[in-house]
Amino acid sequence: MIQEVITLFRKEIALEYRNRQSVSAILLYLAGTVFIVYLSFQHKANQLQPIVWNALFWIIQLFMAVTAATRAFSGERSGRQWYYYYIVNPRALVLAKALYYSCLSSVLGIAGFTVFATVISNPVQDLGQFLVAIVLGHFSFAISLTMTAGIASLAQSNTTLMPVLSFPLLLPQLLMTLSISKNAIDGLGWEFIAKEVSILAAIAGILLMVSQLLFPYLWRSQSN
Amino acid sequence: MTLKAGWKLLTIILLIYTVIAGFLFPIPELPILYESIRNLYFHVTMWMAMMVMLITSFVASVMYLWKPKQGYDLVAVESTNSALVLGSLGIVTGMVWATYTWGEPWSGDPKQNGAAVGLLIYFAYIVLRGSFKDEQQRARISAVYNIFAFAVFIPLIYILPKLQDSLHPGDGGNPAFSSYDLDSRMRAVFYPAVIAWSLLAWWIADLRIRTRKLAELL
Repeated sequence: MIQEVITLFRKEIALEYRNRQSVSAILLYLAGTVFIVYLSFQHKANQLQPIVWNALFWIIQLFMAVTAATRAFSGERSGRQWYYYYIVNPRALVLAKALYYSCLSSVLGIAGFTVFATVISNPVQDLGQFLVAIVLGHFSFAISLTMTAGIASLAQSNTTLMPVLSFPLLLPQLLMTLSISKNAIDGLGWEFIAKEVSILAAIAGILLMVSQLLFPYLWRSQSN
Repeated sequence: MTLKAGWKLLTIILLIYTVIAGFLFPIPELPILYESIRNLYFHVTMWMAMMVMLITSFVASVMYLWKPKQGYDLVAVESTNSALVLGSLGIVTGMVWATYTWGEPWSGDPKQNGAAVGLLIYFAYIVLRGSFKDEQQRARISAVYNIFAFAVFIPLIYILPKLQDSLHPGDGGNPAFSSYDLDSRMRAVFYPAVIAWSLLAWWIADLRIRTRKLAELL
């Protein structure tokens, strides 16, 4: 199982590397939105209040994560899906995809933060906490998003379905992430966010378990 | 009178009792709340009946994945539908109550926001069902979504509001009604009311399941 997850994870990286324009497209999407935010504030973006900065940053991150994960199951041809159906364990597959998309969005999230910090402003005082918010936040998003991407890829009109299904499901994680990242901006100690971090980790853990239980059923429809 | 019709009769009796007792029976006199405490018989009980319906739907979805019978799928979707009706009524009654106790119908309270997002999750379930043509695929995938949604819904409603500053009774350090004022007189109305709303919701769901089955036969 672990071996299978590692192999599938490397397969995702290899596929992404061969098809580099999609990552570039997401990076461009990030840069574009950040610039739109910057211009919308009429060059006064450096006067943004921390709370507005936090909200804008995470809304952009959320849209980026959704855009990145929408491709999770629609990127490959259906013939290849059939092939996977016969050779891999569905649980290993969903775990590998969730891990891959959490790594991808964390990396893109850090890139987004760099762009945000240089173009707009950088109010973050505790960088360590902020990185925890990005990594843990994107990890918990990615678990929900792989499931919803799997569901949406089976339906018609999946581009509109994806945000409709995933936004409400991402809200508890987003709220926790927002408060961790607000704490990092204010530069307060770890003891103020211990509860939020543990709840976020617990939600991620529960969702991971539920997705491990449910994905085999989804997978069976995937290849029909 | 057979047992089959008996529970419907019970529903009617309990509902009439809930309405009459809910508006007329004596209540403890408490500051700020006063007569608005009667909302306990309507708002809280409707929301609990909604939870009963959502749990029914969750169990039906689990059963469907275990044994794919169309009956389970019908139970899952129709109990979600009646849960959505009860949930919307629960939000409206809560807003009416909040107008008089909190000063405004929507104050962005974590519990209110959680409830609104919770309803969005289940409206998304209905939208999801609409986007499949194949019946078995629709049933299986919406069952998967329903179970997954339930795993998000519970922390959203019961865990997160307890963390933040909430005005809602039972959250943010506020005592729930049960801890200080749900005396025996109120209990005598409260529990029958929960049963009454749950039975009514199931009655509606049952009727809709039967019409669906008939429509398929035609």
